[in-house]
Amino acid sequence: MKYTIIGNSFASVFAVESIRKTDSKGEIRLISEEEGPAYSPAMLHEYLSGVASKGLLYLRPSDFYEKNGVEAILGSRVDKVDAAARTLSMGRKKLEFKKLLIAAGMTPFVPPGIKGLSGFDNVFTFTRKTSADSMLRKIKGVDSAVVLGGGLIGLQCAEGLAHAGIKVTVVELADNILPLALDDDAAGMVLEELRQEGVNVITGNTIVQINGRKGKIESVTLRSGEKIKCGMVVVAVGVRPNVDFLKDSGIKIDRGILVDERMRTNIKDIYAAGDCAQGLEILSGKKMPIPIIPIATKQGSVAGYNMAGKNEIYPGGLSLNALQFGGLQVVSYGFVRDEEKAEVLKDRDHQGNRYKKIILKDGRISGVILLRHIERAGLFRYLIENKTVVEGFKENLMLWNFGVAHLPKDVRDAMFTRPV
Amino acid sequence: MKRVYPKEENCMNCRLCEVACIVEHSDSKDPLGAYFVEGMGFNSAAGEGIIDPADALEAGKPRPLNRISVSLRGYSSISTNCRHCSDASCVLACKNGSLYYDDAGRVRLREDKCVGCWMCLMACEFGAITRNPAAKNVPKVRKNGINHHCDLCPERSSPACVMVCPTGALVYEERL
Ligand SMILES: Cc1cc2nc3c(=O)[nH]c(=O)nc-3n(C[C@H](O)[C@H](O)[C@H](O)COP(=O)(O)OP(=O)(O)OC[C@H]3O[C@@H](n4cnc5c(N)ncnc54)[C@H](O)[C@@H]3O)c2cc1C
Ligand code: SF4
Ligand code: SF4
Repeated sequence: MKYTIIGNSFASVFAVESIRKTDSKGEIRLISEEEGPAYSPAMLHEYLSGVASKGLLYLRPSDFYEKNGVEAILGSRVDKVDAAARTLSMGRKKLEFKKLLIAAGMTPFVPPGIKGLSGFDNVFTFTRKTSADSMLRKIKGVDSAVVLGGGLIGLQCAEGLAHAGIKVTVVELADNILPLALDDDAAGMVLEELRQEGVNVITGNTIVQINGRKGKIESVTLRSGEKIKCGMVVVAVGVRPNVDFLKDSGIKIDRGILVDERMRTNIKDIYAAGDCAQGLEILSGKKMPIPIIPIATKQGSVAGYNMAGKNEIYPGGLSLNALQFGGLQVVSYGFVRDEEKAEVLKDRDHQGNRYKKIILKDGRISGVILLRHIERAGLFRYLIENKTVVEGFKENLMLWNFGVAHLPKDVRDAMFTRPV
Repeated sequence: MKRVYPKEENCMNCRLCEVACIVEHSDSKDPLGAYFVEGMGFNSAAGEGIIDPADALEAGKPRPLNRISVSLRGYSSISTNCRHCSDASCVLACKNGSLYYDDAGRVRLREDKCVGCWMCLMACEFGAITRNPAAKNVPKVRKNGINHHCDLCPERSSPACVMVCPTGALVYEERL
């Protein structure tokens, strides 16, 4: 067996495809603790509310594994990796590996200090299909829910529950929702939209206790003393790299698995990619886990190419997001709250309710937020990732019809005269 | 693989490429039919003060959307569309695997799968993706639509935009 992959999600699927583009024969074995074909965690809220049919959840057609000659071992958890002996174990079963990719993703973070958290049935996290499935089994007996955490996962879950007809309250510790992706102005506009979707949001507060009787939740108590009636609690305060099973493996871990520009760990022929990895962030030059799809897939793809012998470099990742709540779209890039020593360009068009903000540092873009006007947004990604000096044409960036013609000629030529 | 490349010195902002694209992807394959029967008026994704295509749809005026668009600044203009990248950013970003490479290497959309989350639009560095509100797969989401980008006219030997351009401002060729 030439290639072994732990995980069956975004990073793994793209790794398989890149291996196959380079090596059409080498045997691939893929192990996942979850049953079933690879699905998108980012579709779970639509699955929960039933607005999207089940087929929309899966990443690839059902013949994916067969077509790519992948032996899929599903429903088996890897609980130990021994880098020196080059083995991994699943319970009592032990397997040898030659080249290994660890793409075990993230795991939900559950904060300590909430009284009663373990005593109730209807307490969930929201990162796996199994959680969504158990929520679906309980949802009929529930008419209201509290979601702890106003980040992307918490808000998507809340919207999903609201669409399923449940009264939802989101409790967020920070002063505003989506503190990583948005600034206060944009967050305020998203909040408004969420209210219209029937999601109530409380900020600057947290849950200290869950109350109920005989395993049945009746309410939660907030730090402020306020009580909110509910029959379900979802904990979505964040995710962290899923690396606990690699303790004592010999693989170097900081917050996530440390990887170089070819997604190699400190140990030969062991690679890591996706939410469990800690790779280069392009603006800061530091290594940090960034748990988003475009980074998981890119890292998975780079890992796959290198495992199969093709030299492919990971240029570093940028924090990117496209969010959609109700009929409102938001796109953000980079560090949107870091305005220290920066020039900030901002325009809020009250008539169309559009919002655009660009943060410039040393003549280059370091953060962008676009709200309700996301047309050609990706041009900003190009300028950020290529570290283009925009000083000379920065007034163009703020035009609502900013497009290709507003870029300097040399940038246009670099973009459009060669294949990509 | 052959791709469409702009030759901006030749572009005179006539936007015939946009028209040809809309007509090619219409049911009637006829300009009058495409513009006045299937849709009302036309849209340029590069135009000033864009009306959200979804608003247009809600107002009962669905507009056929061009997959190539001319960007204008002062007297200079350039027509651009999807680059059909290898290891494309849009494919890497798609939330649920709606984008794929066909056998010829073109980046294509599974129209019945796209959920209109706009991860692709956010990810494409070339600004080549627009929102097509005329189709939707998650009806409960307001202003839902699907990904819209150049498909290189799979039924033709050379894309409609390249064929129609009177000044050769678009070429279809293999480059290294
Ligand atoms: C509700 C929700 C919404 C999201 N929305 C977005 C969004 O809109 N945009 C965006 O960019 N990102 C979003 N994300 C993040 C995105 O889903 C992740 O970045 C992406 O799934 C990472 O892929 P991955 O392959 O690294 O890991 P994961 O998707 O976490 O998959 C890990 C895989 O490893 C397996 N595994 C884990 N441990 C073991 C083990 N010990 N043994 C065997 N198998 C194991 C798991 O079963 C799974 O198959 C969202 C996430 C969630 C939960
Ligand atoms: S849509 Fe954009 S990222 Fe995707 S293939 Fe076309 S140019 Fe490349
Ligand atoms: S809008 Fe459609 S094609 Fe684009 S990322 Fe979302 S699901 Fe994929």
